[in-house]
Amino acid sequence: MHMKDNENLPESKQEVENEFLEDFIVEASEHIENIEMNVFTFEKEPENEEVIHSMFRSFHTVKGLAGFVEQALIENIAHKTETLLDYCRKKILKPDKNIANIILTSADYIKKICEDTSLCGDESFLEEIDKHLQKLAQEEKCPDKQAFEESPPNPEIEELTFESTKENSENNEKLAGKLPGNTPKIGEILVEEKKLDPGEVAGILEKQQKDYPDFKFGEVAIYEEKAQPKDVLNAVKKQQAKTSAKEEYMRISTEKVDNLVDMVGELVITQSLVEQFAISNFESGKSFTNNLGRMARITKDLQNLAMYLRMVPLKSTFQKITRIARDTINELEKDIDFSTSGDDTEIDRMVTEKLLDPLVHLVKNSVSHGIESEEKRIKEEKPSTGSVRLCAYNKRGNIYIEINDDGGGINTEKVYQKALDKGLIDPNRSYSDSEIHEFIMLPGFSTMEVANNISGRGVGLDVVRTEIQKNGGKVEIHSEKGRGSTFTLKIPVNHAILNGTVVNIKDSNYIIPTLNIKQIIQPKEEQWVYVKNVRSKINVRGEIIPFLPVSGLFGTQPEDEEPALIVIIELEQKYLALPVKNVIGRQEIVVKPVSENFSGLDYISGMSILGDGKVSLILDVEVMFKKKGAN
Amino acid sequence: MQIQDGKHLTFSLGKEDYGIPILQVREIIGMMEITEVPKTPEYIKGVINLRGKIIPIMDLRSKFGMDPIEYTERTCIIVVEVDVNKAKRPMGIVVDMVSEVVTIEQGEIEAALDYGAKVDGDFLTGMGKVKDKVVLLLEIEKITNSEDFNIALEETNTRI
Repeated sequence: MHMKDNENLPESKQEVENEFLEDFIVEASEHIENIEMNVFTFEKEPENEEVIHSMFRSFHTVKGLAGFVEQALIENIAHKTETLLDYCRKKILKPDKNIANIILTSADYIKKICEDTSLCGDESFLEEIDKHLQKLAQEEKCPDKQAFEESPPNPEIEELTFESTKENSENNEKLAGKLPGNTPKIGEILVEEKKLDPGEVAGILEKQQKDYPDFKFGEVAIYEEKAQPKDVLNAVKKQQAKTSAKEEYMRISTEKVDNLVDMVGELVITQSLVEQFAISNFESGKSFTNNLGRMARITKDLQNLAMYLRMVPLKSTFQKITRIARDTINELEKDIDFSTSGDDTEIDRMVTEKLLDPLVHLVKNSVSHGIESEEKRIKEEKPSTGSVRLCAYNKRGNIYIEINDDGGGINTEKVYQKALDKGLIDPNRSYSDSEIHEFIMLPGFSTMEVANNISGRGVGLDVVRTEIQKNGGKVEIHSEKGRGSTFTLKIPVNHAILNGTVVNIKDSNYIIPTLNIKQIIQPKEEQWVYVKNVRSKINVRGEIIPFLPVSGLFGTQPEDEEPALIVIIELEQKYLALPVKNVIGRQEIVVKPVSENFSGLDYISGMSILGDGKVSLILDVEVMFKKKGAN
Repeated sequence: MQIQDGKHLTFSLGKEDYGIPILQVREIIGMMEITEVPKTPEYIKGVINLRGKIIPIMDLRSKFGMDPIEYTERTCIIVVEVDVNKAKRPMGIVVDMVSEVVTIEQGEIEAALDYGAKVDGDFLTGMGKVKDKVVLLLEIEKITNSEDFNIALEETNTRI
């Protein structure tokens, strides 16, 4: 591959190129996503022409853009794949699984290069791509090639289609010159800029209809050498700027949204300070206090709105999972229908990122362990094709995500025996089925005898549970032998808001999640259990609870004060006694992540700004149980 | 180490005058209540709420090993932007008093040597002459190096 040497460019030009490259990567990633999604439909409905068209357009656009930013490798991959798709839609090639795989692999390579453009210089990577391209070429050789001999991509010709995928449906309209409303057409803009005259526009339109039905006006203009790529690019940008007012979405950097949320949070605090002053200094019923009350409500609404800005649909998460599920199913050579629903359910953006791994784990688990082998399914008179469904819905302030399979269900006897063998449970107790189902999420439990590379790499479902709990959620298992299992994740919609109890430790305020507080007691001397003359346990109504001194939590010198109050912390039916000086109160708090400088401090899980404008640290309950002396 | 000329914000710690490049200064705020963060080095005073953003605060006196003094109304927090993991992050540094903004030409700067100042030579980029004063030019990135915070991490780990 020949890459132009950018190093010799003057700096300003290089900067412009970098900017274009960034634009390109964003655009290309969107197209790749669109392609991935379409491949799944393509596999299910190979006859669906719209899907092939859509993929063709995406590859075509990527190719054009890649040419413009001089990513010759991407251009080449996209070009070859596009040709393959072209054969498909002209019905020269019969769409099959093999073609679907090739398309996905192409998309993968483009994705990889987008993530790290330096890969273009990596010999082994280039070799890999070469192999892939050869495979592609073989696939293409099958039909009568003579009729479709195409010229290799010409780097001098850049096709500019700076439109995102969601507009694809509009493209056809654009071709026919039926742009919605009064949006200026590319041709009109070019005429306005005196790059083309009206006569040329008419000529190009004619050509477009006759020779290039699949290409856009700007592209045709460049092919026919009527306009410079740069001018067309500018025209497209101009057109976009004018249409963007009508668009439903705009891209905003998360930083801006976060800043807005922060400022609104401050507004709420200041508002409440003003209000408190007003209440103690003015009579109620006066217009001033009434207006202030109104303002308080507006501020509260504003805060809710701001928090909603961070909500994103689960769509892209589900897409990624669909992709992984497909690969896993193919690798295991199982016959499974994987489907998703409810991907428009919205959830805090920060949570979606953390959800991906647990969900992938659960889906892989269902695909590899849940669904039985085909022979077994037939023997049990089940449909030979297994089904794994991933669905999300919203109920009473919580998001529910279900992973459901119609496989063999959890084998309770086997699970019980295994848990017993590993010494994870009490042999003298009898357990109900649903309790036994929970065992599979115990640390150190894995039913597969031999860990395969699909799921079960030593990490078990306990990791999933921990991860979900970290986000304030819960995992529930429902399983019926022979009928299948359902894993339900319940996650609060807005993880950023937490009900916290503010306590005073050593004259500073700390927050403990209220959910984890079982009770708060005033300890009596006779309740203490001493070991080597040091308080080590506390007896609360017959239950002996380990005591974690403040010095143990923070890892500081033991200079502990007499514990005035004891907060009994609860996590997964385990208890811990934490001394505090005072309990200030309970309130809804907005969790902010721990700033990077403090990432080394394990005892805090977050920070928050309280009603008085001061910062408080949120204590990490999970870490408390790991501290020395806690057990 | 690159010697930086141009506009500097000068401030004092005891009898010494220091300067940092003005481009790195985001704002100057008065002293406010700081929330302590346990198990951090002595010179990390804690965190503050800067209009909805939580930012860490470092006491420069304490960092340089000078004797602590009571905070007065002249005590200031200079909010600077530092690179933490390749991203610009705000951070506050507590100084005795903010003086003025001065322009220091390249020719007026002498390379950093050991000047006998209370400051570790590593933190200095040079020494600038301004009128009749000598200003010690600091490299803020070196001072606020995030490794300082991670000391806390290492110690905690060994203790568990």
